Parts: sequence; structure tokens; C-alpha cells
Amino acid sequence: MKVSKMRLFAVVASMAMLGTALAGCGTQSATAPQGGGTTAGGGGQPVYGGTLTLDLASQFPHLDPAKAYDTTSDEAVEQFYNTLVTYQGTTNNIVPDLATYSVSNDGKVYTFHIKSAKFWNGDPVTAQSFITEFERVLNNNMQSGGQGFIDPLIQGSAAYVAGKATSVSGLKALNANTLQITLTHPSATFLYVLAMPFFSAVDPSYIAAHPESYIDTHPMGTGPFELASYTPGKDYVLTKNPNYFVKGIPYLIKIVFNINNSPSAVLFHFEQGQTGLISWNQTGIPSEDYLPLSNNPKYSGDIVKQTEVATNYFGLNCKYGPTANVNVRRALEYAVNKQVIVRILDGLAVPANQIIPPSMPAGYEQTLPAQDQYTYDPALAKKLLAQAGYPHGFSTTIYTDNTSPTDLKIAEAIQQMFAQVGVRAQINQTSWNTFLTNNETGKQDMFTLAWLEDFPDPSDFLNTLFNTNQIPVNNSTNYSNSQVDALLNKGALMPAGTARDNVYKQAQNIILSQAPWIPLVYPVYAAAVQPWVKGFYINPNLMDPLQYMWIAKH
Amino acid sequence: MIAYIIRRIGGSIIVLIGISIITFALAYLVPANPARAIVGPHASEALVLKVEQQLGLNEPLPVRYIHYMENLVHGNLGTSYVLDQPVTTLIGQRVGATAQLAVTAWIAELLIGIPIGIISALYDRKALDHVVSILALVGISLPVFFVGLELMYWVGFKLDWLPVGGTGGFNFVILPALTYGITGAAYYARLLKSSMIDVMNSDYIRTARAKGASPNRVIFRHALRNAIIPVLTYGGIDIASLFGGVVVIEDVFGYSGIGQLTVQAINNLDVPVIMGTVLFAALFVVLFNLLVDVLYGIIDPRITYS
Repeated sequence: MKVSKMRLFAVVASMAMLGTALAGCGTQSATAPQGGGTTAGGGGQPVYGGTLTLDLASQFPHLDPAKAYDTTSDEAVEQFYNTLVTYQGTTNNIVPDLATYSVSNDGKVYTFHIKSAKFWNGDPVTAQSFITEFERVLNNNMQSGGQGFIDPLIQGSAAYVAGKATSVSGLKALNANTLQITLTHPSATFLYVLAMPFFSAVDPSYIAAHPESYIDTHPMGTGPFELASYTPGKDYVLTKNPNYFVKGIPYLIKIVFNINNSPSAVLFHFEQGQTGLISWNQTGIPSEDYLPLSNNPKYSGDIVKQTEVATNYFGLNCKYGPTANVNVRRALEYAVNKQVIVRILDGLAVPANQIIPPSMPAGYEQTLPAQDQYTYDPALAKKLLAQAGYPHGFSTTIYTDNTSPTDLKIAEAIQQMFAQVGVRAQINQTSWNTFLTNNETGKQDMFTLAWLEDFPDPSDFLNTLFNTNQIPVNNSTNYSNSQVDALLNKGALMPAGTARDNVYKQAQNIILSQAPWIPLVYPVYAAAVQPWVKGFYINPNLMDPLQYMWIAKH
Repeated sequence: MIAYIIRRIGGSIIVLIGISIITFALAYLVPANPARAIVGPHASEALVLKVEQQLGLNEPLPVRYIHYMENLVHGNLGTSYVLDQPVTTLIGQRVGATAQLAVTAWIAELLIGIPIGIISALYDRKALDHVVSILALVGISLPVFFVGLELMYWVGFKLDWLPVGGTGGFNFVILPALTYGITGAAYYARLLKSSMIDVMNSDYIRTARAKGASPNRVIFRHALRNAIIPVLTYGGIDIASLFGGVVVIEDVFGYSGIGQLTVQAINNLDVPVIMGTVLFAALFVVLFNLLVDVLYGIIDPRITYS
């Protein structure tokens, strides 16, 4: 997911998950959080009852899982809907959610056995509940961001999208409770895709009876909480689903999301004890509130931090301008002091040395080859620029957006660092939408941007951002290398494992040596949890675990 | 009078059309394509093109404008690119909150500004005038967000008398309205002071005093009624702009009104919402201007319309 640097504070990651892989085939049941990831307020016997009040940064843009493709929407959608599989606790491990599963030996056929579960209106969950949702995601009129994840991966999806078929041949209900999905090729990431909220169970009769605009504001799911009311501009009230298919949860009776995006009011409400949590409801602690909270001894212990599965980077155009010369790009790698960027972000970041963040389960390299190690050395940068034919530097433009006050500060810091080596950069700052449109033409000289994982696999970074077939929308530096393309295309068809990981590491090493990016920092996510709010944890791929949270006596 | 009103309405429609053309052109001149933002980075080019088609983005700008105006005539302001809801619904959901804040803020300005204006005029160049003038100057000089944050901190957080932010009942409106009252009252005070001094030196006031009218009667019955006309002019424009959204105040207090909707739409380049909120604000300015002009005639019978 391409995001502004500041929006990256809306992303979590898990340092503790290194080396984890997909869990085995479908014998697990949905379980409470486990593992040693980042948790807060845990411990003690869960208490049933109580209302959790939160400040919500904006109204939920979408409550329809087919349309929701932002962290704010997903905060609610994950409470309203369930998917076939999900992530276990704080880990990247895939476990059954609404279904157990098995995979054929050739890795192309997935069979899901759907558990006994009901929608809030009493209708049962069946295989058709998922087929309907997959078809909605594939339907062009839905404008779903999920389409690209399963088209053309699921057999027959391309024909359905093109309007040449009325159903998707790769989606079959073997019986009411058995769903079979056939892929065009094996995919190591398919279960991760299925854990995305796009592919939740929906009630086919409810979908048929209501217009799409109604479904987007009136959810009908299987999730632990139901939408009891929405007062526009004021609040959302969620109440416990008493018939939730996972026994014993949720603990809370009610959750109230008060719409309020004032960082000052969010801080005061938390300090007054009116709200229990500042997390995904505000896409992390607002940057204005982080220092007041972390410097306050009363609350510093209530802040939970975790490095995100994301990389803030500085893109260098490989096709146009002086940076088309690989030696110029390599020279600029030595010109950037990443510690300065960390300071600009109030310490909520870790200096980056490669594309794959350390919290990614595979692909991160503890030690990089010598030619990929760039340490801050402006004298060397200047020397290399001279050798590349630019002894007096050159003029260029740094493109950035204005999503947060730190965007300009980062661009200005790099502008000054470049000035030290003779590169004269002017800054072009626009709104996020304008920046993105411009960026996707592939014609920006240099730009600051970030990428956060869609799912925990190195292909989500390397293939999406560096494959030639992704130029210019995602690969907006125009980086193109046939050897890298071959490796990425090979990795896409390989089963998960060390051999596949090595293919991606090999690809990353080649890319780093040609320097289309200056990896800047890995951002750190921060949430604030009241000591009386228990059960909170951070999963790198999901929003807040409200169904596992409870309120202790205080 | 009726002919005058009809003429003014005709002129107002032309103004609104002009504003719509300018806003539409400016919004679309900014190079931003919402289609990719809607469907995300993994969407195929075919889907992006389809979305552009659905949003009408592949048509020439004048054609798009004509379609927009056709829909506008039928009360359809389009659908938000980001929230996927009709713009009329989004504005309708927030107009109540903004109206409540606008009227309360306006009353707060008047309640603070008018007494200061009167006192300053009556005690012109005396100690009391200097004191209230300095206070007014401080009020006018302080940034709105600063006053808002101070009130939030002291009245809302420390004393816990009122909600510090968010949207809800009338108690959520008081602090934002008071912020606006403190920072906006000085304009009314200054206008009223100069106007009041002029009036108090006029012959008919001297006559009223000579005839033995009480000071209060002279001030409130005779002087204020005439001195208030420039205040009324400013007040009309002021409340009209407040109805368009109290942008900074709404932002500081996290108040969900038209102002926040506008800011979010601009950040997202959500053109239908930008158009809708700008036209909504412009409509109020035009309407209140008309209303003020009509009220002139009622307050001051010397003003006639032809």
C-alpha cells in the first residue's frame, strides 16, 4: 500500500515475528492472542461487561468490506465481519477464522470447511457467503481495491471481470459448508490475501435485498460487535454480538467511537480517563500528542511501540534526469544522514538500510553485501558525483506531499544534505492526491514516499515496487532490470520456504546495488492504552483486537 | 421593494454561477486523479479506466461542468469520491451542527462586542475606554487556535466544566463559540464605537438630552438604533461566513461541521464535496447579504429601494 510518510503511523509491524511462517493446514481453532509480541494491559482474569469509549479520527469511510481499503474503515470492518482465515494473536501465523482448510499437493486447490456461524440477522454462513463477496470484489462497478489481489489469481476471475462469464469457475460450493477455490498457479501468499477484510463473509440475501450504498453504511456481518447506531458527525455505537461464533468473547458490552480528530482534545480525553485507547482509532498517537504523553511520567508506561512493516524511502528516477545514471544514484546514497530523519520524527523511526523492513517474516538481510552498504559520507558522495560527471552537482526537484508537518521537514533536511554535496534541489509540495497522481506518471525527479505491507511477504515490496511490469504506477522510479524481473517472477510461483526467501534476497541485493531508492527509515507505531484497559496487543496485519479487550475495575 | 428583491435574486444567481465556474475549474485544474486512489495500487489499468468512466473524468471539462449544473438544478450535488455518499447527505448531516455553532458564536461575539463598543464610545479617551480597547486589541490579535487551546485546557481539561472537544449537545458548542466570541468581538466593538461616537455628537441626541430623556433611553432608544447599522452590515456577512463552516474552530475542537468536511475534501481533492460546500457557503453569503439589505429599510426608514 503506497502511503504518505505520515500515514505510515497508521501501520503496525512486529519485530518479534521474524522467521514465522504460515501455520499448518487448518487444524487450529480461532484462539486468543498468543506469543511474545507487543502487548499492553494484559494479565488477570478477563472481566465481562463495560463500555470502551474511543475518539475516532473521522467517520468510517466504508463499512462494506468490499470497499474498505484504509485503516480507519478496517478498524470497524474487522469488528463487523469475519474472513476464512486470520492472523493469530501478535503473529504473522495464519489460522482458521470462519473455516478450516486444506491445500492440494500442487498448491492450486484450496478447500475450506466452514464453521457453524450466523449473521446478526440469524442467517447461516455458507460457502455462498464467500462466493458472493468474491464476486462483488471482482465486479468492476464495486470499485474494490481487492480486485487486483485475486484477479487473475483465481481461475476464471479474468473472464468474470471482463464480463465474459456470469460466475467465477475457480469458486465452487461443493456443498453448503464446503468452499473450493482453484488458482491459476500456486501462490505462497494466497492465505494472506484471504485474511484481508475484502474477502469477508457476507449474507447473500441481505446483499440482494439492499442497494450497495445501504450496505456500505448498514453492515450485516458475523463479527463480535454489531453496529447499534450511527449519529452522523457525532458517534458510532457498537454492541456485543451475543451469538458470536467464537465462544467466550467479546468481553465488552459496548464500544463508543466519538468522532473527534482534534489532537488536543484526543490528548485531554485520554488524560481525563474519558477514553481508553489511542490506537487505530486515531491511526496511532497523533504526532502532536506523542511527546506530551511520552514525557509525562504518568502515561509514559502506557505507550506501546512497535516497528511497522513499512519503509519510508526517497525515490530516485532511473529513467529521467541526472539520476538515470546509476553512479549518481549511488553517490546520493552516501549523502543522506538518516539519524536526522529519525529526530524529525520524534524518535518514532529506525534508520533503514534496505527495502525489506526487519519486521517482515522473510527477505530482510541481517548483513548486506559490501556494495549495498551505504553509510553517511558526504565527502565520498561528492567524490562519486564528480566521477559520475557532475563535479559541480546539478539542479533537481524533490516532490513531497503535505499530509503532515513532518513531510516538508524531511524534504528540507534532504535538500540541505544534498546541498552539502553540490546538488541544488527545490521542493515541490502538494496535497497527497495531487502528489500521488503526479508520482504515478513516473516523471518525478526525486520523491519521498513510503510503502507499507498489504501482507507479510517480501513480494509485496519487491515485486510491486521494482518489477518492470509495475512501471509507472507502483514502480514510479522506472527501475527496470531483466535479472530482477526474472527472479521476482520465479519467486511468485515458488512455495514458501528458504529457497524462495533467498530468491527475494538475491533480487533485493541487485536492486540495492543500483540504488533506485534511498531507504530512509522504518517507522515506529505508537499506541496509548489506559492501565485499566486490558487485553490490548498489536498484530502487524490487523487493527485493534477489540474483541479480546476488557475493562478492569479502576 | 419586491422588484428590488427579485433583481437582487437574479444577480445572486449570476454570482453563484460565477463561483461554481471558478471553483469547478480550479478544482479540476489541480492534477489529481481520484480513480487510482479509490481502487488502490493493485488495481488493473482496466479497472482504473472503468472508474474514471464512472466518475465522468474522461469527459472534457466543459461537458463535465454542464453535467454538474444539470444535476445541480435537480438538487443533486453529486457523490463524494472518498465517502461514496451523496454530497447533499453529507452537508445535511453537518448543517445542524454548524448552524448551532454559527448562531451561538455570533451571539457570543455580539454579547461581548456590543457592550465593549458602547462603553468605549461613552467613555471615549478615558481610562475605562483604554482598558476595554486594550482588551479588544488583545482579543483581535490572539490567534483563534491559541484562544481555543487555552479554553480547552483551562475550562475543559483543568476545571472539567465543559467538554474539551468533539460533537454532541449544546455543551459541546459553548467553548468553540466562546473562542469565536473572544476573538471576533473586537471587530463589532470597534465598528460600534466609531459609529456610536458619530451618533452621540449629532443634533438629535443633543435634543433628546435637552428634552430630559434618561441617559439609558438616549443610548439604547436613540443612539444605538442608528449606530447599529454598520454593525448589522458586518454581522450579516459574518454570520453568513460562519454558516459556511467555522474552519479553524471546528478543527481545533474536532467539531464535525461543514468546515471540517470542506477541509477534508480539499485534502482529498474530493471535488464534488468541495463544490458542494463552496456553493453552500456562497449561497449563505448571498442570502444574508440580501437579508441585511432588506433589514436596512426596516431599521432606517430613510433607506428606500427603487
